[in-house]
Parts: sequence; structure tokens; C-alpha cells
Amino acid sequence: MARWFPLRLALCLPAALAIGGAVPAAFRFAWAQPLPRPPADAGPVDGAPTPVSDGGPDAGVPPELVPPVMRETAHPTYPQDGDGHPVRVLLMLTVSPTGDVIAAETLGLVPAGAPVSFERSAREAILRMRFHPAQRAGEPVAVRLRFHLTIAPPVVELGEGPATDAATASAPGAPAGAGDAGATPSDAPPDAGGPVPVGEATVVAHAVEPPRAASDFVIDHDLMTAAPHQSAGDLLASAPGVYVSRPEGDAVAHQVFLRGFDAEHGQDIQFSLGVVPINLPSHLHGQGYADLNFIIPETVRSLRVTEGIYDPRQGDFAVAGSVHFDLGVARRGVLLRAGYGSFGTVRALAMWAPRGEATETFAAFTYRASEGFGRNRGSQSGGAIAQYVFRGPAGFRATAHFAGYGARAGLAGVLRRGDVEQGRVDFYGAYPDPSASAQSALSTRAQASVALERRSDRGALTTFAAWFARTDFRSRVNFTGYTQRSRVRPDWVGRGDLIEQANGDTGFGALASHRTPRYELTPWWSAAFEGGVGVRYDLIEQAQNLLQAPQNETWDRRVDATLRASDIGLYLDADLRITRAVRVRGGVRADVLHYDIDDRLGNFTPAFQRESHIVGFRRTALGLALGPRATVEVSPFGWLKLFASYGEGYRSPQARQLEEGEGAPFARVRSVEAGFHARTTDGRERLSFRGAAYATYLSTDLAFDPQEGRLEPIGPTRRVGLVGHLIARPWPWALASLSVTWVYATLEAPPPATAANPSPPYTPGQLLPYVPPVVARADARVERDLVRIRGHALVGRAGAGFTFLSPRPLPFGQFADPVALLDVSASVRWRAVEAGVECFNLLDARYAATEYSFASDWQTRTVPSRVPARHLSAGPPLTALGTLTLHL
Amino acid sequence: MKTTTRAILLSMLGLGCGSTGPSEVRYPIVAEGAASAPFAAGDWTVTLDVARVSLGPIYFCATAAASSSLCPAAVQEFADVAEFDALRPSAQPLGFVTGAPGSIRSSSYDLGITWFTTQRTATPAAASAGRSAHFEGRATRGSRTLRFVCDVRAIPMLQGAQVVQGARVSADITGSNVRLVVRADAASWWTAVDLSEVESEGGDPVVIPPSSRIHNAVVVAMTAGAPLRFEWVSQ
Amino acid sequence: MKYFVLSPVLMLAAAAGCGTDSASGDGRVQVFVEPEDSVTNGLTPGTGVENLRDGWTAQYTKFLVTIGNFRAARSTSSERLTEPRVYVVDLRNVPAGGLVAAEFPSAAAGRWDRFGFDMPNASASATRAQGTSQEDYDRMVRGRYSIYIEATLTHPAGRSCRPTMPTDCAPRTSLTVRWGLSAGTSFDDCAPEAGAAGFAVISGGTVQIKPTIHGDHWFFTNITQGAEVTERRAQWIVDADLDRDGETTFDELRRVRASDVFPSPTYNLSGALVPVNTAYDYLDAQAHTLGDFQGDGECPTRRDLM
Repeated sequence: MARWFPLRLALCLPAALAIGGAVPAAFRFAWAQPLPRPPADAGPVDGAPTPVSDGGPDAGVPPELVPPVMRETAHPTYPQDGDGHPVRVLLMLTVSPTGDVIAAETLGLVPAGAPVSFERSAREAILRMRFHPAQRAGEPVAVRLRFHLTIAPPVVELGEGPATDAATASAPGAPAGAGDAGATPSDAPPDAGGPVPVGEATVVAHAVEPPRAASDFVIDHDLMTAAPHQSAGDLLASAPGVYVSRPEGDAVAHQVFLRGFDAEHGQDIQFSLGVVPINLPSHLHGQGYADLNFIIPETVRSLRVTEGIYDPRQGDFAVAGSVHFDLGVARRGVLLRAGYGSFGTVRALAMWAPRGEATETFAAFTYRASEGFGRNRGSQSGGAIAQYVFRGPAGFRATAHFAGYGARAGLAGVLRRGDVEQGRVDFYGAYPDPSASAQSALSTRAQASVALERRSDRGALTTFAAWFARTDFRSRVNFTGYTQRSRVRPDWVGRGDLIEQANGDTGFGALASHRTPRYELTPWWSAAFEGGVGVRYDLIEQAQNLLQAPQNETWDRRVDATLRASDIGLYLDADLRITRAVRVRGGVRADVLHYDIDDRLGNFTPAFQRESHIVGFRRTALGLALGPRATVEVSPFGWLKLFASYGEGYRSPQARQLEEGEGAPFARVRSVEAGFHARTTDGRERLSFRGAAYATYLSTDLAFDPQEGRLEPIGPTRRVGLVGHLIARPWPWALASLSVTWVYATLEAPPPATAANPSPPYTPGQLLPYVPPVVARADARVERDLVRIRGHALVGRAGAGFTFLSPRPLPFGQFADPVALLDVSASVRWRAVEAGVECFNLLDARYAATEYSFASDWQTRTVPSRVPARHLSAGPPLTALGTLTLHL
Repeated sequence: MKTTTRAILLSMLGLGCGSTGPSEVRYPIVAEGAASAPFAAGDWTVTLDVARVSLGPIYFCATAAASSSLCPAAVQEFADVAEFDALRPSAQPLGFVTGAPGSIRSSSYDLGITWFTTQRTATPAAASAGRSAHFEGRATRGSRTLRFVCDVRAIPMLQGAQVVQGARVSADITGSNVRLVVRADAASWWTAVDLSEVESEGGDPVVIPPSSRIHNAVVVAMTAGAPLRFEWVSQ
Repeated sequence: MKYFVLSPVLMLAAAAGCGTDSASGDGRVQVFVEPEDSVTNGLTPGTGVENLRDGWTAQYTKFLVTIGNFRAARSTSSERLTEPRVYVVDLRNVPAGGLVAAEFPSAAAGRWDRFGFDMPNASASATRAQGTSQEDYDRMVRGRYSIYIEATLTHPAGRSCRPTMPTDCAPRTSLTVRWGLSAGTSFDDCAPEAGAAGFAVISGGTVQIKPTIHGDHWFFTNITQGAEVTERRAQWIVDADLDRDGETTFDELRRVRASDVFPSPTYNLSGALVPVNTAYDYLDAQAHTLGDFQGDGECPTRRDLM
């Protein structure tokens, strides 16, 4: 299939170009305000209105002059001393022939009495924006542009269902181009030889919700995309303290480490996309399973990674923190991308972001296939995402969203390290065994949501949203080889521990919230309040069997259950400002969770017992989780903020482990943090540095049990650590970021006793295995015009990401090798065509994506071993991918 | 400086200090028999001349009542098969025990013939010469002397099980400065045998067949009546 | 206005220290003693894994046990629940809803991962349970039994063969046993078939835990531990009737070598708490394994209470 793809691409390309050229034009005429014909090399036009006039498309603009077109936006910060109302900043910009904003002169504020901090915020954002330069007769020229930037209070993008309401408090708001474009012609005469005034542009930008702690990070698009990435999960690597791997292939969720937590597939991190929660409760493969593969990375505008649980909107699974994906496409137009690379990897992407619409309005489709870097690792996947933003009168705004995804991949499984070292199996291979070869996974997802919001004239914000999601998961994995005996027929043994897990989840929910205007209680004391409620309901069907390869005959049944789970949540949040320097934010969150478990294999009658009842055990449980969250922020100087935060959160239990009437024993987490954020205030925020010290206590941690293929409790744990994150933007075309996270994670009590191990060994203060003490990450990016060819700039872009993990503690006092991974990318773009190359693991490091310790028997020894041994899942070797992109 | 503080500071340097627990253990296993001497078996006086015993693998479990379902992962193990002379009192090295430090409350083991989950039938290990034990001896009753030979096959009851399951032992092994001594008393396996069953069989020596009550008596004695004893000795 | 502003502030201050959930508080624990199905309904012949494979039918007419000293603890704290009373229980005559042998009315909510109980040899300090006759109670105390059974084995074509001479057989269609066993045993680290050991207490609710007494272990072909992967056979009891009077006694069992009635590999006698040399040793060994948990869960830590 891969072999024929380039030919098919060549045949399809002319048609694609024709369509791609026609549709945006039609769309512009149908939807957009009249716009001048964009320059031939302008590439995708984002939603930012290009200069227009009331008198016609090009009135007020010198006829031979093509105005600049925004290329990269930036988010302003809503100043602390704002009163919750939008403020319009009038500026006169000078845009250089390279598209950089080299001067920004404030002309005024609307309302006139607005704090001057809005000027500073606007200038900081403006100076980070980049344009496609204006052109006269095909040559780039400097121009002066009257620019109106409206800074509105943060858009509260509620992150998830009620239990997890507004996971990250808000997403970064729509940058330039929210459809409120409007401009008037400039009345300033052009300076002879100087920048040419070309009119005005107006942008409405919703500012970013202020952070709840020093380690509450917004990863902007430029940082997020500095290093190459193959999936949306890989985008997380740019966040401090995050390590992401894919030990179970392309159809299973990523394994994510965050700040000392091995969140497995999502148990300790609340993931959300817009208003849709991603975590799946009581998922058979792992509590809180969150498959991020359905998110097309090119549609992600920014990430909010909130480390810790200090926001009342964070709900279920926010133990280490939460991650919110904000979707938006800044570059408007059509994008067609094809990639081909190592191991027969092909990827195709078609994305359409109609000009004149908000950046959140787009549609995207992707397909990916690969033969995999080793035996039994082939995969195929396809997905689509679409959104549309409606703006109505009286401050109403609505966002409609849907997404669909499907993936199937082979799994190589895990290998005993001893077998690899003794040459019985290749590091990148898999056991040549029918049961090992039969491993695979399939996952699908379909979701839709509608979110409404209204912002009043006084600054109040009311939101309402509803969502629906259906996911299906089926995996066949064999970690332990040939060790198990059938429960149904105990004389069946040694048929291969190929565990088949199936989990189908139909979930829907709704949420509503209201934020009051800011009330000024005294001249130095103001307050705003917010409250929200939400519900979430999941109907979950799950089953687990043992299969015998190669015919996948079922030889044991382990799980057959239907779960009904609901989550009803309430949060209350207060925002107090005491003088201009002190801000106290916090509130309380309460969640009521109910479970109805129909365990069709409960009260199982063993084979050698006479039947005394009908097998099946139905039980119900309900519980309440209640916890405060609070943050104190002090700004002694304009360049420095100090934070102190405290919060209590929870993780819902695995429903099938509950007993009748049990009060839904949550895993409780307590987190405390102190930190700071220092940054330059010279307008461009050339330097930003965050540092924090934190401590987290978790009452019941979970760890992977390979015998059962799922998570089992291991007891209480504690983590203390430090994190530092430095971002430098010395020039508009350069970005560098460095983060270092250190954690000391310990087990606080013996693991739970079982019949097989009544007295698990425990040494007080022993390290938690598999958690890397030090995670370091560096990202760098440069993007510049290199040379001009036939009057059009050849733009070069290069980026790199480097990840370092210090030796991870393993059971029995061992340590894994350190891991150092370097990913690089480079591309050149001329007019509408961009060619690039991406290299992952450039150093070709041979490393284990994940390591376990358990007993297994793969028939590689004359006498099987039954003591726990190290097992590994190989990380990908050097992988290169070439891409060809058309920007129309 | 407190240990915890030092561990934290060194850990900050990425030096990975602190520990997930004690390191894996590895220590020698030796077998000791009992010197041959005449003993009574019913109304016969028996002297064993040869008593070679196959032992292994041995899995030591954390739970007292161990079985294949209650000991899916062993604490420590001797994952091999070796033969020793049960009539030699001196220590005979068999190999090494490896595993995790921890509490041992039972042992499960085979006597040279295994039936792992992946074996379709009970299979003798290569080191066992096809049997669990080989005995040669003499029995006298009055003027009658009987020379006998017996190849004992102690076969696990079902696939995935071991011939001895959940034999009670108790030890807390957290380091490698120990030695495991396996003690066997071959005579105790023959004291309940009635050699009259084969008195009239032909041959010199008489070959005791596997279908005989004598053979079954020796198997029951080796596995349940007077099983091997395990003793951990500091060294 | 001031109230409207202050109340959330006060609420925040109050909430700052009050993070909680419904897993705290107290609950009630009831300990039920329950007989396994074979105690009340016996065993039937057949080829199924739950049948007696050698064609015999077994039916108990009496099944008395001594049970008590229920105890629970948590590994992560010093909390303890103890009920030292010991009961003599007629398992074939427990109340319809089950026999509540102990109750802990105020146990902290959460998981109690260490549960255990005893089946000691009866003494005068034992309590006669509801449904147990005074005669039976006296029998248990007088004999210092932990278990007393009376049962009948029947087989329409049954035979009894001499253990030392398997060809010497005589017809035997019915056999009785009357056994009082002093096999006092403690059972600890009880765990259900799946999941964590012990039990969970629900705040404001009641949790019922069931030490379960099995009645078929002496018909097993191996010493019981873990999953009962075994067969059931009764012929050995009939063959041990050496005087062929229709009743197998302890004296007869002690005179029968284990190897004569338990052929290997059909039988596996390893893993007993005591050495197994005679048929009586095997019976005694199995009598130390009758205590299970929540039906077919295990109490793997067993200790002889002699």
C-alpha cells in the first residue's frame, strides 16, 4: 500500500490544488467581509481581518500595495487590575519587510480610563505577532498599520463533565481573528521612503486565564511545535516534568509520566478537549484511560498543563494535574500534507480553515499507516475533527464540535531483559511465539459537543455545554507467556496468557457555570465569584477473556460486566483582589459519584464446586468527594509573581473492585506548592522563568499488574520535588525553552496484602519504582526568511527537542539506564510549497520505553523462572519522516 | 546528615540514590544426606547402598498454603534440576538460589520430573536420568537376603502443578550471606516399605516396578511422610 | 452585599480544613458462619468435577465444628477488632438467615486487610450456638473436638478391598463414619477469591463476612490449598474398614498406610501441616484445611492449635 502512495498522491495533487484553490475563494465570498485579494505568496490567511475599508475592498490602500497578512498570533494577558470588561487598545504598528512588528505606538484606550497595564499587555502580545509582509510591486515593504486590539477577559472553556468541570479553568482564548473584524482606512499620509500606512485591523483576543500556581503552564503553539511530533500525545513533551512513551503500540493510549507520577494511560491526569472529557472511568485496561491519539496535532492551538490540583474546576483523575487541549488553526486556508518515512510510514493530512472565520473553525482529516520499527508493530489509523464557532448578538457565542477516530495496531509486547541480553530475542523484536504474535489492539472514538457562552456588558460570563462520546477498545496482550490456569476449566492450563480486554463506553454530560462581574467592595478590595454544576453519565460494557492463539479460542473468562456510573459535580470559586499586588483565588469542589455494577461473573462457582447459586453479583455504591483548593498570588514587582497553593483532589475507584454499599473509596490526593514567575517586561517577554517546590500525598496509588493486564492498588505514596522552566525569546524568530523537574517519590506503607502474598515486603521510605527522579527537556526553534527567490521569501524553519531521564529506580534496588532522546526537524517553504524532514531519536538511542518487573514464562528456558524479572518494551530507534505540504 | 536528607540531595543530582528495597539475593544451595546404616522396614533389615535423588526446580513462596494459583510469582527459586547422593553427609553443591528478598512461608518443588504448564505430559529433566531417585540396597530377613533396585518416579498430579506443593518452611531472607542446606534421610523413605511384596519376584537384584505398592510407599514418603528439609544457614 | 461577599469567604475558610469523603466514619461488621453446600446436601456420584468419581454417595447426618476468636486488623494502623468467644456450631442446623457468630458494631470505615479466626478444640469455655443441641455440645467438649461428623456412604455395587491386598474384596453397599477430630487450627490472612485480602467496612452500613466451612476436603485427591483443582473419591474410606463391620474407625485408619490407599500420581499428599504416613494422617491433614472465606476464598496462613 505504501509503495503506491506517492503515485496516487501525484495523480491526486492537481485535483486537490484545484479544489483547494476554489473552495477558500468561495468561502471568502460567502462568509467573509470583503477582503483584498491576498498576495500570491501570502499562503494561508488566518482569521485576522486584513485591512479593509467601508468604501470598497481596497479603499484607503494605495492601489499597488498589498497589505500585510497576519502569520502568527500571540495571546495577551488580561491584566490583574482589569475590571472584567473588555478594553480596546488602539495602536499604530510598524511592520518590517520581514513581517516583524518593529514598533508599536499606543494611540489610546477605550474606555479612556482603563488601566495602563492594558497598553503593556497589548504591546507584549503585538511585538510577538508576525505577519506576511506587505508588498509593493512584488517587493516587501515596511508599512504602518493602525491596529485595534480588544483584550477581553478569559474565555472559560469548561474542560470536562461535572466531576471535572473546567479542567484547566479556561483555554487560551481566540487569538486574532474572532470574526469581529472591522477597520477604517488610515488617515495618515504615507511618509516618503518610510513605512506605508495601510489602514487598520481590529482583533478581539480573549486573554489567557491567569495561572493557579507557578507550575500552571500554557504551552503556546510556537513552543509546542518547536520539536517534531507524531501525535497529539507527543505535544505534551514540551511541558515541564512530562515524559510520554508508547509502549503498547499505536492503537493504545500513551503512557504519561508527570511530576513523579506514572499516570499509566491517564489514571493521574485529567485530560480534556474543549468541553469533552477524555478520561474514561473504570476502564478495564486502566482507570482513567485517556487515548489522545484521536486528536490531530496540527489542530492543537495550545496546551494548558496544570501541575497540581489547585483549581476547583479540576475534577476526577486530576491527581498529578490536568491537561487541556485547545483547538484552533491560526493559518487559514487549506493545508495538504503528505509524509513518508522510515519503516514504511505514510501520513496524510487535509485541513481546511476557512478564511474570515474564527481560528476555532476548521475541519481536518488524517490517515497514518506504518509497518512498525520491529516485528508485529504495524498500524493504521484515521481520524477527523471539525469545529464551527457561531457569534450571535448580545454577546452570545457557540461552538459546535465533532470528532471521529479509529486505529488498529499490532503489539510486540514485552520482552524479558535476560532473553534480550542472552540473544534469544532481538531488542526490537518479539517472541516468535503464536501467542506473542497474536497481540493487537483496536480503538475507536466518536464525540460531539455544543458549547454556548454569553458575556454580559458588565463582564459576567455564563456558559452551558453538552457533550457525547462513544469509545470502543479491544486489546489482546500477553505479558506473562504461559503461566495461567483457567478458572472455568482448571484442567486447561498453559494455553497462553493472551488477555483479551474489551471496553465500550457510552458517555454523555452537560455543564453550566456563571461568573459574576467583579464587585468593587472598597477601592483596594474587589471580588468576583463563579459557580458551576455538571453531570456525567457513562454506560460501560467490559469483558476480559484468555485466548489461545492462533485461532483466538476463548479458554477462560475473567470479566463480564456492565457498569453504570454517574458523576454529579459542583464547584464554587472566588477571586479576591486585595490591592494591586495580592490576589487570592480558591473555592471548593464536591462530587457525588454513583456506581451500579452488574458483575456477571461475580460469586463465581469454581469448577470443582457444585452449583449452589446462579453466578452473578450486582452491587451498588455511592460516595462523596469534597475538597478545597486555594491559591495566593503576590506581585511585589511588575516582573515577579509569587504563588502559594494548596488543593485536595481525588481519583474515582475502579467500579468492579467496589463492594456492596461501599462509600466509593476515592484515592485522595493532597498537594501543596510554592513558586514564582519572573519575566522581562520589555514588551516582548524575552525571558520567562518559573520555579516551584511541591509536595503531593496520594492515599492509594495504582500500578500495573501484568498477570491481570490492568491496574491494581499499591498503597499510599508521597512525592516532593522541584521544577524550573525557562523560556527565552531573544528575537522574534527564535525560541528556546529548558525545563528540569526533580522528584523524590516514596511508598508510604506496605502494599495491600493478598492471599498470594500476605506480608508484602516493605522498607519505610522505599523509592517508588519506575519513576525517573530527574526529567529534563529542552526545546529550540528558529524561523527566518533565508533568501528571496523571484521576489518571494524562502522561509527556513528548524526545531529540536531533547529529553533526558535520569536512571529510573527498579524493584530490588536496581536502576535503569538513563535515557537521552533528541528529535529534530527542518523545513523550507517557498510560496505555497513546504518541504521538510523530521527525525525522531536522532541519536538512535537504544532505550526501553517502559520497564516492568514480574514473573513470566515464554519457554525460553529449560526450567521456567517464577521470580519477578525485568521486562522491557523497546522505544523506537532512529525514525525519519519526509513531508511535503501545500498551503493554499 | 540524616539518611533521608542525604538521599534526597543525592537524588537531586540524578544519582538515583535511595532504594526500592534490598537488592536481589543469590546464594548457594547444597544437599546433605545421611550415611548409610541398616534400618528396619517391617520384619526386614534394610541397608541402602545407592540413593541418588534428583531435585528441582524449587520455588519458595510468600504464602504458607501455596499452590499454582496461590504462588504465581515466587519469592526465590532454584530454577534448575540437580542430582545428589542421599547417602553422603557432606555438602554437595547443587547450584544457586536467586530471587527477591522477603519472607518465605512454603516451598513447592519437583523431584527431577516436571509437568510445567507448557509440557503436555510429565517430563523427566535431562539431569535426572529419567527418574526422581535411584535406590539400590539389600534386605535381610533371617537367612534370606534380597538385593533390590528401584527407580522412583514422583510424577506431578496435574499439568502446571509440582510433585510437592506448599511444604511448610519459614525463613526471612533479605541478603545473600546465607546458604540453603537441603537435608535428606533416604532411610526414612523405606521404613514403611514391605519388601515381602517382591520377595517372590525373580531377578538378582529384584527390580521394584513403578506399579508396586513399594514404589508408591517410597513416593508418598518422599513427598509427604518424610519430605526434604530446608534450612538456611548464615555464612 | 457584605454577607454575599463574606459568605463565600467563610465557606472557603471552613472548607480549607474539611476535605473529606464518605469513606470516613464507622460501620458495622457481622461475621456469619456458613456451611458449604456439601455439609448440608452431601456429595453425589458422577463424572462431573463436583461428583464423587468412584460412584459413592456421601451424606452427612451430623456436622459439628468449634469456631470463634474472630479477629481483624489493619496493616497500616494499630486498630484491632477481636471477639474471643468460641462457639460449638451444628452446621446442619444453623438458622435460615445464617448464624451471626460475631458482631463489631463500630468498626472504622475502610479496608481491614487482616482477618482470621480459629477452629480450636472445644473446651468448657465454648458457647453453644443457636440450633446446637446440648448433647452435641457436651460431645464436642468432652472429646475436645474441633470437628465431629457422622456420615453414611452408599453405593449400590460398592466393595471394600484390603489396602494391602487389593484383590481381596467384599461387597459393601453402605458404610458409616463417626469421627471426632481434634484438629484445632487457626486461619489467618483470609482473602476472597479475587482482590485484596480482608474486607471493607462501609461508613454507616453493614458488611457481612463469611468464614465458610467446607465439608468435602477429605474426599479430595490432594491437600487443599488455593484453587481446588482436584477430584473427589471416597473409596479409600471404605477400603480402610479393615474388620468389614460397616464402619471405618480412627483405629483402622491409623493402621492403614497412606501409600496403600492413596496411589500416586492420582493422589498428591504433599503440603500438609503434619507428616502423612497413614490414612488417619491424611484425614487429620485435611481437617486442618476446612476454613475458607467468603465462599471459596482462602485463609492461607494456617497454624496447628494443638
